[in-house]
Amino acid sequence: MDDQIQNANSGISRVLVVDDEPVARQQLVFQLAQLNHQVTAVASSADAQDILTREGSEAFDCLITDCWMPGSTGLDLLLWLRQHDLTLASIVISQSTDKDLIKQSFRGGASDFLNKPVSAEELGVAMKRTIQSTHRRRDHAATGSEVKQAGLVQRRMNNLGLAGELPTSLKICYYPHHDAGGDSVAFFSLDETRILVVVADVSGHSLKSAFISAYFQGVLRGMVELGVSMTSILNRFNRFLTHEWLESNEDAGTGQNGDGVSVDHDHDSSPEITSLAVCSALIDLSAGSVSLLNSGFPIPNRVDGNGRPWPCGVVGGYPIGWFDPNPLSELTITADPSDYLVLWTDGLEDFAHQLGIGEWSLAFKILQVKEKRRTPDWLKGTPDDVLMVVIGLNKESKEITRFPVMREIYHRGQIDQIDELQETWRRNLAFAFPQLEVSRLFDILLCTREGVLNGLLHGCPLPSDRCELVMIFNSAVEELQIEITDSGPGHHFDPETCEGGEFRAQHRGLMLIRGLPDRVEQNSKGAAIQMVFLLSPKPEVLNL
Amino acid sequence: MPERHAQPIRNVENGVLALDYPVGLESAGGIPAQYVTLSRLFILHAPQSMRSLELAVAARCADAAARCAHSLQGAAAAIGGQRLASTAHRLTEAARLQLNRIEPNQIGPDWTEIDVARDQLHGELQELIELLRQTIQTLQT
Amino acid sequence: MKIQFLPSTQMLELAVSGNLLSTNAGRFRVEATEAMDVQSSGTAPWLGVQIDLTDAHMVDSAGLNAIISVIRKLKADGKRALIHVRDPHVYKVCMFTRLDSLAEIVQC
Repeated sequence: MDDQIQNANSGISRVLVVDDEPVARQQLVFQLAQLNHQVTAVASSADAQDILTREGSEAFDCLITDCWMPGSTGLDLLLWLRQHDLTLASIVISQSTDKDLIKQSFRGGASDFLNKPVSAEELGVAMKRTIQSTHRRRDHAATGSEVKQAGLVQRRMNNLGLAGELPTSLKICYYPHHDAGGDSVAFFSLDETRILVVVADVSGHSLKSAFISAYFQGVLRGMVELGVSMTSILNRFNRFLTHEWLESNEDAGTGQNGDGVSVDHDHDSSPEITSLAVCSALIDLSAGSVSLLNSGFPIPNRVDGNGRPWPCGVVGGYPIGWFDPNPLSELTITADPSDYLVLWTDGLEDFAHQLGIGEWSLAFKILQVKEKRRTPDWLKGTPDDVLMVVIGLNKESKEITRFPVMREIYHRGQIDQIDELQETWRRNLAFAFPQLEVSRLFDILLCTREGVLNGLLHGCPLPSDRCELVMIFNSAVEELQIEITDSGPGHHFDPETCEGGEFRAQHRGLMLIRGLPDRVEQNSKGAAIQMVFLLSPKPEVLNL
Repeated sequence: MPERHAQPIRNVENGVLALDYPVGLESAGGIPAQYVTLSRLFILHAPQSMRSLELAVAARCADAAARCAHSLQGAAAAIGGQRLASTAHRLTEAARLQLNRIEPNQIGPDWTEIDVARDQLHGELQELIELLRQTIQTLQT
Repeated sequence: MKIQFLPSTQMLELAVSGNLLSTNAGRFRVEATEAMDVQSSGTAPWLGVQIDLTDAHMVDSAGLNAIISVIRKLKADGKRALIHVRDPHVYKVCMFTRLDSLAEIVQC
């Protein structure tokens, strides 16, 4: 290690040359020695692997290999290297100008490709670039392992909050994408009837982010214990992020590799802003209320006893760390003991968008996965940390039997897009219920189409009118409940009592809606329709 | 001056030098002592490559023949042996093998061409070795 | 939509490509009406219309209404109406909306 540091400082790098042809090999040795490199030369890929294993690949700063060699070729050696040390950068050198070979070399992980005979100048440039690449990769690898450590500590801290009895039921679904930084949940039992839940999402995933996340958790815990209000805590932390933190970053200036660049953003020398999207929920069980504070967080939802979602608020404010002062979005709602509060970070929304589905079908599926204790493959492809917290407002209610699968709002202008909307429903249903029988799926799609078209055509006369589509799954009876509500005045006739040929001709759609589902209810002269479908074969059952 | 002595008779044929000393010296970093080392290595190893090549051609093994020719080509180019390098290259082309070994041999080697190239290589190698010996002698006096 | 006259059965076949929904029902009705008018103006005798829905996985109320308007026109001219379906869901919808009382529904 000391030799390496000395070499790095004095600019002497150690190179491993691999070429089976003795003259060419020696020539390369001469050229590299003239460029002040310490050279080790071997005649085969096998010898190269041997020496890299014996002395350790970290002993070398660059590998130069000929391509076409008897036995194991240069490309084979690159493959071996990728499996053993991703930090050692390599150059492939060959007499051939074959384009495929060049492509394969780069695809195999080579940093550069040179044609024999190589001039001293060309070799010098390539060596400098490749060695820098090795050093850069090794710096990042070192940071990476530190970040992993920070991540482990964070997760342990998250779990600390789980100790102790809470007067409510709490379900945390967390699928981190990165090793550190990211999302966190903290909850505090203020007294026998009041709980405080704070969900936070820090920007970035570097060591700095991990630090801020941990620092916030510490500040939060301390201040809550002292009885400080969430508003004051968030305001105080906002001042910290917009002043002290930013100033300390400007002073530091240089990143870890000492060339004035932060590790996360290449060539960006401005001080990194770290921000925190936070949502806090102060639940008062005796008063039956929830006080929400939102700072740049996705809108939380209250799911009622029927499984219907109600968004809490319209706008979520800015994340803390952006502006000072930062007005927080506050809202107090009333809640029933049978209600649930559902919070998720933007990682869930981004993932839903990536999958081409709505947030609720993803949330529904994540809740199902929670019980399996094994992360499925599809959940490993998240673009960011995914965190969802489901808070039951009654400790007794352990099982979530009704949960939303979809919630969409349409206006009259979207009538022409009905085919696309239908495709959205199909995608969401296929995702949430992959075992759903095709014929049943089409029944559901057709009835939903008819219901939404009916709602838009007849129930939304004004541009401001809205048609709401909600799908809820009741796991106790394995039924999918579809509610379509429009803000219009309803039919001029009562669809319940009307019959006859004329009606049939004009309202074939309503006929379908009445007959295809297992149960139908119509209210408000048709302005609210509820259709229930028994799903078969049986989808997975939800359990808390 | 070494340059004066590195221009023997018959060095140029069809515009291609049998031994281009300045080029060879450049690949040795401009240091004559290093050029001598490379030349000695060539004299030592190239005949072995030539023998392997002859065996491969006799056995009609295109893959092996191409490899040997490829080796000779590289070695010759390293010391300025342009003509040998060129002929060796012709032989590898005639073997019509893809060096990256992904594409299967679609057309098949041109053995007539390979035989001709092999014969030429034999003569050119003798010539080049002789020229190198002379150059080494000159450089060491 | 593919329109062809089947001499063997003397039926005019209207083959719908894909689903028959609100988004293409209007076009279907117009093209079907035109085809029937052309057939009527010719001298060759024809017995009726065969609507081929074997490619459809879904028919909504607008699609059904369009089919019914074609059937009504056929009935007025004393012609026969035949509907070929393949998807069980589409068959169910046709039966459910009592389309079988107005036309022959054949499940292929």
